[in-house]
Amino acid sequence: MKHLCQRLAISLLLLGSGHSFAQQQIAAENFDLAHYRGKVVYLDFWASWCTPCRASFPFMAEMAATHDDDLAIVAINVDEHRADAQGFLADYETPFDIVFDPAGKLAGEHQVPGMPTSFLFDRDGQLIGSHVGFRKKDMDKLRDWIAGAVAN
Amino acid sequence: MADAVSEVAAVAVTDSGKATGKASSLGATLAMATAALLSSAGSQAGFLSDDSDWQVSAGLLVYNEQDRVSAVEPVISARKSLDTDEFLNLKLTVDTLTGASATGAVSSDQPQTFTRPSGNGQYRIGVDTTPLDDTFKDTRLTLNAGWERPVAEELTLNLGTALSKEYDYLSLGISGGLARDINAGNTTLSGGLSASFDSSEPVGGEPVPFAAMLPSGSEQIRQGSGSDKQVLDAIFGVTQIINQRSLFQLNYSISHANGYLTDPYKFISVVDPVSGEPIFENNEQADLPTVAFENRPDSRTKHSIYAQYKVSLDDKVLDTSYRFLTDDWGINSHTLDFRYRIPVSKGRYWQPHLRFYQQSAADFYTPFYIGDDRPDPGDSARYGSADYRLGDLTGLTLGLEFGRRTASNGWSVAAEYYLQSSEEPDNKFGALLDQTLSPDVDIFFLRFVRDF
Amino acid sequence: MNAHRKALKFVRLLPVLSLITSLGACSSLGVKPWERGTLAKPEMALDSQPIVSALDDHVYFSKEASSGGRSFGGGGCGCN
Repeated sequence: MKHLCQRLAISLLLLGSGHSFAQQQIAAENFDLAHYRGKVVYLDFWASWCTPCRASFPFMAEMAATHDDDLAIVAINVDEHRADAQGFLADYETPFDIVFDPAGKLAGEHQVPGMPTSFLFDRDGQLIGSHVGFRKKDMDKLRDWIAGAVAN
Repeated sequence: MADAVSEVAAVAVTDSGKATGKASSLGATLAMATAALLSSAGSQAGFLSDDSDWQVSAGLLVYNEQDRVSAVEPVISARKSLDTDEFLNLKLTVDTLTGASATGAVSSDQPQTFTRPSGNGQYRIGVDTTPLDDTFKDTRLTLNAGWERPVAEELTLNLGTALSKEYDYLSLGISGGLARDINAGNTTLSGGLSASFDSSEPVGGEPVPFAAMLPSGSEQIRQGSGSDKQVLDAIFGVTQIINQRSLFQLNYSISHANGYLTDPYKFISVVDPVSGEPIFENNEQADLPTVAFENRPDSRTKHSIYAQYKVSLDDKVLDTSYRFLTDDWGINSHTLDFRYRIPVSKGRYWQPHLRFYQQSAADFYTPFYIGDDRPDPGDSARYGSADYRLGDLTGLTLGLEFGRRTASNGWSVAAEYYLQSSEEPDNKFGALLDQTLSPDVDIFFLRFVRDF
Repeated sequence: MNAHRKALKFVRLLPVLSLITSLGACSSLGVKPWERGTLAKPEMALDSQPIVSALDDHVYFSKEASSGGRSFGGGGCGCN
């Protein structure tokens, strides 16, 4: 209840400022990379139990604000229990799409080598590269990586 | 007590705290929103990021051996995340020990008076009572610092240091270890080294091996002053994930200690070959029995194998471990430990604890000397000790912990009962048959922990 | 005599063979990186209560002739 009020408060406060919080929650079966054709896509596999993910979420929100419509961020959750994921999400602003992949099907398809892992795709849906782990010291490198893809 | 730092340095190496997230407060959320409003697109928004502050834990041990030693030990530790995979750990432990400890002498149906280690002062032991020396009251301060960080892909380094100080004792330790993840993080190979350097100045100086105890006021038979010890440890281990609910760890470690390993406050009674009574032959003090100060080898090499298995059964967790130790003093020991964590509502849990311990005596363990079997004073090539902690003994611990763990903090309280028992020496004879030379030791301790 | 030598040779090789097969077995044990939810729980860490371990180890170390055992690393979320 408290978290719902918080989210409502923020949404109301920021409605007028032009920030868009297009947050959809999608089931794994309904996820299709093709939906994001025309935008650079940053795909991030995360879980409520992944402690570096707590640092990656503010970073992804920053990227959403920076690149706006040029970049589509999709955060794919691999928690077995939805409640754990929702508990984590309540702590962070998520102006990007969340996919729920509790069976790990998408994780398996992308052969996720470690948690967390992010994949960057160009505007035609081609894979540019991947990045395993999240460290504060990697943030500048990630910013440049995304900015480079957006600029092309 | 003197070996504590290598133990403590090893603990510094193994300390791995939990990084827990912090729930946002309404105020923090508003601050976030305000920052987002005020920031222009492209610059870094003021979104909250976690794990940048210190996570502090504090603990308190309250320990009591029935009629013997009591100790209170507060400990405080702090962990800072320098990055998501880089940590700094600091820990401060204060150890205050009071009460009396067994000297190794036998009890008797005659009263005995012993001289204090300083040579000034004495204490009287009544009939049929285990001789305990209550002279020593120690306070020891130990500081540990550790740094953990990745140095390459799948390779983590940790470095640690430990400093320990007591009024007559100083210890410095360093440690380093590497851990390598393979098999997609399912297998971790680790190796570590640690070294510690201890120096102490026992009250009154070190006794000459097997020298006699002289009456209070006389100059005791001592050699030099200042005793040093160095300990080198190496550990190799593998941690393996079995499945989503279980894992195990298998370690081999070797430890080599060199230097003054004798306990300068312990001695061995010399008994009459016919009666089995302590010998009272001192001209100045009729109730001062003949005792010989103990002597241990100046090196000790220990090997141990440690295995731990942890499994999650529904929401309960079973933690079991076994350790086998063998050394060149002839000591072999087995330790079997079980902890079973049972969650109840709202983050609370119960955790019963069961521990079995068994050790075999050191080759030179000698509960008493019979007449002329007693080595000549100064004969440092021979070894002997009546310290019951080097004898055959078994220990059984029963404990229960209750606590609460939330995402951001936790606390626990535990009570443990530890019973140490040994068999009587099988070469008792005469008057010794009426004495209990190896009484059971009843230990009770409480443990309070708070994670902030 | 020959059979005896062969038997001895086999016995000497046994530890090596068992090590190799167990390493092979090790690589078939384990989980995918996204399946570490339960293992990542704080109570599933090998040393889940460092202060408790330190205090207990201190008690036993001062009353017994044995010490040590644990090492660091492994288990948990396997992140980064």
